[in-house]
Parts: sequence; structure tokens; C-alpha cells
Amino acid sequence: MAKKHTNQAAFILKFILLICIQQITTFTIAQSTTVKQLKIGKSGENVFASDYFDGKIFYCSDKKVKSKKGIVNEYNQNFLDLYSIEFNLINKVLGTEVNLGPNINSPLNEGPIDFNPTSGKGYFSSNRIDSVTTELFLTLFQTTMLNSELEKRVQLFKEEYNYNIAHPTISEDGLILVFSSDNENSKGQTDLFMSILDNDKWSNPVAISNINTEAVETFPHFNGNILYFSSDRPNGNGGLDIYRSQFKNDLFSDPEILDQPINSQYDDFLFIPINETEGLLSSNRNNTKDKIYHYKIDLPQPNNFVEINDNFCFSLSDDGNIDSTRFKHVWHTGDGTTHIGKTINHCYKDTGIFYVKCDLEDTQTGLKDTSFISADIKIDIHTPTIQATIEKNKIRLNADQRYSNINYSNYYWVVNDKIIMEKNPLVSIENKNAIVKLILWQEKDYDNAIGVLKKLTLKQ
Amino acid sequence: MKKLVLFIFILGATISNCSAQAVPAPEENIPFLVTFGKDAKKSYGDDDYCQTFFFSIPKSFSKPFYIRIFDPETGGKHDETYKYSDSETTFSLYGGKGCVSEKDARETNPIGNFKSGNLLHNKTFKNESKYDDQWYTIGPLSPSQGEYSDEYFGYVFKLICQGTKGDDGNLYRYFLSTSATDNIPISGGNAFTFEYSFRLNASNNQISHIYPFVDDNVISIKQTNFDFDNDGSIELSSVATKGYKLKMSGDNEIAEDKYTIVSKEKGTSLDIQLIKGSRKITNNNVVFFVTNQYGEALPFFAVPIGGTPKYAGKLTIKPVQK
Repeated sequence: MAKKHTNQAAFILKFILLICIQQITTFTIAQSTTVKQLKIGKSGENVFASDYFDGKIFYCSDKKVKSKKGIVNEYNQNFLDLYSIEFNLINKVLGTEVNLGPNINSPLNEGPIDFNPTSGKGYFSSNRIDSVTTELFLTLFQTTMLNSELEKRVQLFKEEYNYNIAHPTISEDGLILVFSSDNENSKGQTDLFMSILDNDKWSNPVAISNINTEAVETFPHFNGNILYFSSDRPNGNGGLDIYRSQFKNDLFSDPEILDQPINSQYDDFLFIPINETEGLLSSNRNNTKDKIYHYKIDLPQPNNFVEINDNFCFSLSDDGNIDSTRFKHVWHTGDGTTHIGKTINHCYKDTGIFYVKCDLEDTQTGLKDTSFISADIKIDIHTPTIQATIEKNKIRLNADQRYSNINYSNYYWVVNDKIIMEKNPLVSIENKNAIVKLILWQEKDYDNAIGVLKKLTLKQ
Repeated sequence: MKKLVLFIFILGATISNCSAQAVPAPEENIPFLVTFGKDAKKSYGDDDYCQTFFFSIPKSFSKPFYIRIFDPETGGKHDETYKYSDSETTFSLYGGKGCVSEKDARETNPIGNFKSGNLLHNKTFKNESKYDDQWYTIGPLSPSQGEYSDEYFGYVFKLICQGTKGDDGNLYRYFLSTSATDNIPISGGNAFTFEYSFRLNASNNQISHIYPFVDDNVISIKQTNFDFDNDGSIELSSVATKGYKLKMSGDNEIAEDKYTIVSKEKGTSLDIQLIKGSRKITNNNVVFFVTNQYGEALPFFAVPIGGTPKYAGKLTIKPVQK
């Protein structure tokens, strides 16, 4: 029995257990992010989280199960099962662990599960036995959460690939599945591959060439249009490190490594954002076993928010008591533009000091009163501004720092009280109105964080 | 360079001459004052056959001066004659106490003690070719013969013109001069009236101006015009208002309406413009006066106090969405 598990066991080593054999040292928590171990699993157990769904952490554990008593792999290790545990995000209280049961778990290994929150479909890896060679391979399975119950698992690919396919993650739209594999096209021990759902059929796996290297690429996890994954490629912090790649226009961008303390010199993997400021990751940083960690980004809060108006548009009006049927106002806005009318609107293209004057023409006599009104309009901004452009009924936000005295290195957004960490987010706005806040700070200088605010109204 | 300086000096003197104590002042663009004989129909354009003008001599001026009347007689050039030039006009000059401080003197109607003060000069003119199209000079006068008034900026003299006989219209002008023979203005001198009776220009599209002074106590004004013949439009302008339409009267009619004074207008003059229309109406005489919220008449100054009011606008700048 154990022999049959050889291939599978080697794969697990690559993916999970080898990462435990590291030195144990302390790690520091940077000012902006705290990472705290969650009390899931006993000290001698390996646990790692794969998703947060329906208020629960879904995770893998090699906990000894009575029903599998005596079943171990060739390294005398217990097989992995999938579990869930409730996790209250407000008070961070954990519930009781629940084995996902026979609809999901088998006597062999069940790997990470990832849910599509819209459809409730969950994708995970598990062993299959090759019908010819009786070898074990990891392949993908699907289940669906219905009324908080998981349906019996079904194998995703009908083809029986003669290699391992594991660690699936599903895109937000449910059409792209990314997973690890050690198939013959892999550059390294394992690479990332993707399969696309077309007419209810998943396409053959295609390697993601922009991400894969000769090192290990594994544990992918989609969050919006960002794909997080782990790799032990050179120039990292040590062991597996977590990287991110943006999926845009059917292409994955060049991966960027996440900063410490998300990454450590140990194995860090399965980065699972729950919301904009907190999430889960798994790591063996505190001991030789994989454990689940909760991270929280402590964002700086400015003392106040300055409402900015950076469109440089003004209404100029002569509010005196004047017969505008007889007298014609001719405004010179100081930037080479002329407007006619008692009240005019004008948008300047940039900052500066503009000498505005208005001439008054008497249409009855032809007499002209030159510059009867004059004023300087000084447009001077020393803070960053918020640029908002419409893209496909959504709003693309951009932090414009060209007028700012200080070039801030860090910033985040709050759109209608929702925190957004993305640099240039594309946001949907309900009710056509939004209060967009931009909080900026210099590295490690939380005390001098500034806040700017802009009220947006989407016109029909 | 010397030539240039000299030229500027002369130009300045000429401008000063033009804009000084001619009554009506050139800036007013009013060709003549007018007073009809007491037997004239009111529809001719004079409601009371009497016009009172005050002359103010600044305290700083102590030399003799003269009040000159152009074409004081009735008949001949300029005047408006009906059948025969048989009218008489009496010009009476008053000074001394009560000359202007007497309330009746500042009324718009010649009633009560409007001839207050000391009579300094009195002369009645008939149809006399000697004074036709000519200047008649009263004086020399001493400033101290007037009534001193801070409110009216110096020693004040009162010249009442009354149509004492007939139905003809006497058209005339005044000049406050330091010379008996020439029109040489008194620096700082001025002239004012509380009821203006005058002839409008004959040609169309001409704009005449009269300048009532608004002191700090004025909250609102009521303008009254008589016999404008609907000859165009009447508009009010000020430092805060431009082209505010006032009601205008038709033939032998009175029109009046109110206008609320804003704080910016206090201590300044208003510019009431009588804008002739495209119709060519000749011999259009009109009477105009302005009262405050208490019914007290406001003075029209020949040289507007604070200068000709120039509309300053009220600039409001607001940020708007793109």
C-alpha cells in the first residue's frame, strides 16, 4: 500500500513537507504588518490554509485520523485531509475544527481547496490510482457548497494524466483554473499551469511561461486579478517565498516578491487575502511544522482629510445687479481663453496664477468698460491629488503626486469606507456617488501620514 | 520733453474747464435747464414753473465769484415759444442763514418758506435780445454771503428761477465762475438741485445723466419723473448696479418706482440715465426728483460726489465640477 503511494509521497515532499526542514529563528514584525500564528492543529501536526470561505478557514492537516489508523506514506507520515474551522474576523476567535467528511476526504491525500465565492464550487487535489500501473497521482476534484454542505466530489479532468496536478485555484469569474503540476513540460520541479473553461469543458493545461522558472512554483491562489504563488527561486528570502502576479488582458505580469514579514527566510506559502488589510498565510517559520498565520496590515491614519479639487474648474460670475440684455460680459481668463456671459465656467489645465479680467460692452452705445472686474486666480496645490477616470462603468483611481511637495512612497485607498491596497484600482461605485480617500505616507513615517479626499459623482 | 509736459498741462486744464461748475455739466449731456411761465400747460414739461439750484463754494475759497446765466431771457434762440414771446422769468439769488438749511428750500415743490435766506439779487427777464444767447452775470459775490453747510461742502447760495408770466419755456444754463466775463471754474465748487427740470437732447439715442447723492442714511429711494413722453428708457447705474430699468412717464404723466440701496452704494452717487429711443422727439422737457425712505429729496450734484459712479461688478468665483 505504501509503495503505491511513492509518486504521491514525493510530490507531497516537494509541495509541503520538505519546507519544514529549516532552521528556526525568530522573525521581526515590521511596523506596518503584524503576523500572528493561529491556534489550529496540535504542535506536531502540519496545517496549512487554502481558503477563507463562508466564514471558515479551509485547511489541510496531517492530523492522525482514527479511521485511517495505521495508514502512512513511505515516510511514515499521516495522509492529509481537508478541514474547516470557523474564524470570526472581528474578534479573531476560532471555532471547532471540522473534517470535511467522506464526500471530500478519502483514505489518501486531499490537498488545498479553493472556492469560487459566487458559484460555491470548490476545487481541490486528491490522489487517484492509475488504472494500469496502480500508481498514485494527484489530480483535481470539484465539489459544491450547498446549504453549508459539500456535495460529493467529482473528478475534474476525465483525462488520466500520467503526472501530478495539484493545488488548484479558481479565478473570480470561474473560468480560469491555475494549478501546480510536474508534467513533462515543467521547467522546474513543479510549475504553474492554467486551464480555461470553454463550453463546460476544461482545456488542456498550459504552462504559464511568464511565471515559471527552473525552481519550484506552487501553491497558487487567485485574489481578484492577482495571482499569488510560492517559489524557491533565487534572490528570495529563503525557502519558499510568496510572489504576486497581476492577470490583465489574458497575460500574467512579471512576478513581484512580497515584503517581509509576509515572507521570511523559511517556507512561506498560500497567501490568502480575506479583505484589504488582513488574511492568512502558511509558514514553517516558528518551528519545523507548517502552521497557519493571520496577518494584518496596520494602516496609518491621518489626522484629517483635506478635500481636494484638482479639476481646476471655476464658475466666474458677476453677481452685481446688471442688465445682461444690454451689457455683454467678455471674460479673459488669463490663459488665452475668452468667454462671454454674466456667468461662465472655465477649466484651467494646470496650476499657476491667472489674471482674470472682464470687459463690459454696452450693446446700446457700443462703449466698452475695460477690465471693470479683475482678479488673480491662484491655483496652487501642495498635496497629492486623486485622478478618477471612467473605464467600463467603473472608476480607475490614480494617485497624482506631481503637485505634491513630498513624493510619498506608500499609499492606500478608502472608497466608501472600503479599504483598497491596490495602487491603481478599478472600482465599482454604487448609487453613482463615492467618497474616495487617499492616505499617503513615507516609509515607516506613520505619524506624518496625510489624507486627501475627493467626492465623486458618476454622471449618467 | 518740455513740450510734452506743457501739452499735458494744457490738456488737463481743458478737461478741468469742461467738467467743472457748468450747470448742467457736460458729463450730464443735458442741453438746457428749463422753466416755463406760470400759464403754461404742464404737458409742456414743467410741473411747477420753478427751478431751484444751489451753488456751493468751498471753505478754502475766499475770493469774489460770480454766478452766470446763459440766455436768461424768454424768446429768441433756444427758448420754447408759444404764439408770442410774452413770458417773464425771475431769477432770485439767496444767501445767508436758512438759505439751504430751511427744510422748505429742499423740497421738490416751491411751497412754504422755499425762498428762505437773504435775497442777494433779483432780476426779471422778458423777451430781450440783449440777453438772447448771451451770458448774464450776478456778482461779485463773497463766499461769506452764503450759508455755511458741512453737508453741502461749503458756503451755499440758492438761485430760484420762476416763470412769473406767460406760457413760454425759458431754456438756460448756469456757470459758477471766478470771472465776470468768462467761465472760469472755482476749484472744489459745485452745484446741486433737489428737483431737476431740463430739456432732453433732440437727437435720438442720446444719453443724459443725473447724479443723485446717496448718503449713509438712505435705505431705499423712490424716483419720480414727469412728462418723459416714453422717449426711450430710464436706467439706474451705480457702483453696484448697471442698467436697472426705472419706470418712465408718458406725456403729461408721472412715473415712479422704488430701488433698494445696497451698502456699497452709500456715500456714492447714482447715475440715472435718460436714454432717448430711436424716435426723434424734439422739445422734450422732463422733471426728475428722487426721495429717500422718509420722503426727503436727494440732491443731484452737477459734479457727482465721489465721481461718476462706475459699476464695479461683484465677482464671485466658485469651484465647479468638470
